[in-house]
Parts: sequence; structure tokens; C-alpha cells
Amino acid sequence: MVMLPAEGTEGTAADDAPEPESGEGPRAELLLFALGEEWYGLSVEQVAGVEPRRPVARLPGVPPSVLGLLLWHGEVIPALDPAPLLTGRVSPPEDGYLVVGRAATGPVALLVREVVAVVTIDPGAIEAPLPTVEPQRARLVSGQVQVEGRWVAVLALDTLVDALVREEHGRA
Amino acid sequence: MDAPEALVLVFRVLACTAATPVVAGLRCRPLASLLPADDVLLPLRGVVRPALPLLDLAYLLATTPGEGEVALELTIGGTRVAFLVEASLDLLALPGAPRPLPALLRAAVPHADCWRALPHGDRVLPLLDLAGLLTPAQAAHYGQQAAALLAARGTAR
Repeated sequence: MVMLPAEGTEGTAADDAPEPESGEGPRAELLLFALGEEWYGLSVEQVAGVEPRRPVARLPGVPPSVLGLLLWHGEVIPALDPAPLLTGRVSPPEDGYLVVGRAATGPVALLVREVVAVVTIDPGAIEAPLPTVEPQRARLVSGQVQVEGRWVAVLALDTLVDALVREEHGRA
Repeated sequence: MDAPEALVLVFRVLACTAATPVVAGLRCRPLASLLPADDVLLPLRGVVRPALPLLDLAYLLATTPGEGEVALELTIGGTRVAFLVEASLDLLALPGAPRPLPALLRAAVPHADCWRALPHGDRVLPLLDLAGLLTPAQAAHYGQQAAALLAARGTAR
């Protein structure tokens, strides 16, 4: 198991994290996190950091997925809540963790319920999203992979953050 | 209230805390008088003394009517207008250079060109250019609406 390098993840489900799969061949690392009861994964190459949730500066008139602005290592970055788009429910107003991802547009913080672990996987084990998944949702993931018997959706970070900031924009 | 330059006025709108640069002519007054306008005229909420159009800032930003007890007054293109906000909170010395909004958010924030981000301690204060919300022609239009309202209904109470 590869533990998260960031501070503040003590006491999370990382203590019970799945063990990596053994074997040779190409390997990739995924940061696993929970939104609601579902697990999602993000390539660790796209993860700049993880920290406990802290207050963000809210902006008026933005979609519910846009939490606001956050100062992160001296840089002003957006904080987004992917839960409404991925699970259909907004995240609780408190608790959780901020996973800072490296999007093409720059760092972006994603609010997650819990950080689970970093796991090593065989990239060849990543399957395409099931054809039964709605196309609008399927485009947000690059694939799915089984970890400890659970299906984990591997997120397509740039597509996801673009969808989050455009969600319901301009609503009355 | 007249304030010097290099300050920001912190206020609340739509339950968000934001700030606006203190520019020449900016005044912050309690909403002591109001001749209300019909909702069909939103964002115009009415006329405040002496004869200023009171514009609903929440409606301008999010198309949601807001509430408030404070008017922020300033001049846009020669027209004096007032913006309704929930409350004024503080005057702060400008803590540093404002930053642009993250590029990603420009698609999500109404009037994105009017917003910047002001690092303040370990947090960020959204900084709104109130004067940039309206063109001079729009400000003049609301001024004319306010004048018409006054002519029809009398003075602001």
C-alpha cells in the first residue's frame, strides 16, 4: 500500500486501505476516494495534494458544484463539489477532504467525503464504462476498475471539472 | 461614509462575503428611505434619497431578488446609483494585489470580468468591481426609471 504523502489524512479509511495487486508488468497508481457511498479514482499523477476541508470563499450566482475560491500554496484556485454531478446529491456542509488535482487549466480542489487509499493497479485492468451508463456521465470517467471487489470509476479530470463549472450556469 | 483610497469595503450579498474597491465617491449608507418599485422593474428596487435608483445587487449577480439594509452608492458614467446589499461588514486596507479569477471559473461566474480574488491571510476575498456591472448607458437608463417612478409616486420616504 502506498500511503498518501499529504498530512491530515489520519483517521480516514486509509487505515483499512486495500492492498495493491501483486505481479509484474506496467503499474499505475490511483488515489481512491469516496463520494457518498461510491468510490472514485484519480491517477496520482494528476493529484497535487490532499488536505482536510477548510472554508472557501463563496461566489454569488455560481452553480452548486462551484464551492468557491481557495488559497492553496499562495495560489487562488477553484474549489468544486463533484458530488451533485456524480452522485446526484450535494456534499454535507462540513467535513470531508479537498483533493487538489492538476487540471489542464491549473490546480483545482475537489471536495470528497473520504480519502480511501492510494492503490497500485494494472492499467490493462481498466475497462471502458459500461454501455448502460448514461453518455453524459460516462464522459466524466476514463474507465472503471475493480479494487477489492468494488468497482471504482476512474475520473477524467479535465472533462469533469469542465462539466462542474458549466453545470446549470445561467439558471434563474 | 467617505473613505480613502487603497481600501476595500467588505459586504454581504446572497449570503456571500465579498469586497469592493473603495473608489472616489463610494458611499455606504443604511437604507433609511425607499420608494419601492414594482418587481417587473427588477433589478430596480426603488428610489432612495435624494433621487437615486436602488439596484438589487443580488438580482444583477444571480437573477435572484435579494434582501438588505444597506445601499452602496457610486457614480457610473455620470449617473449616481445605489446597490442594495445585505450588510456592510468592514473596511480593510488592501492586503495585496488582487489576482484574476482562476480561468476555469470564468465560465461559471456571472459577470466574471467584474470579479477578482484578493488573498487575505490564509483565505480569499472575492473582489467585485461594482462600477463594472453597468455600462454608463445602463446606469442612465435606471436613473431615468427612478426619475419616472418619483414623478409618478412622489418622493422617497
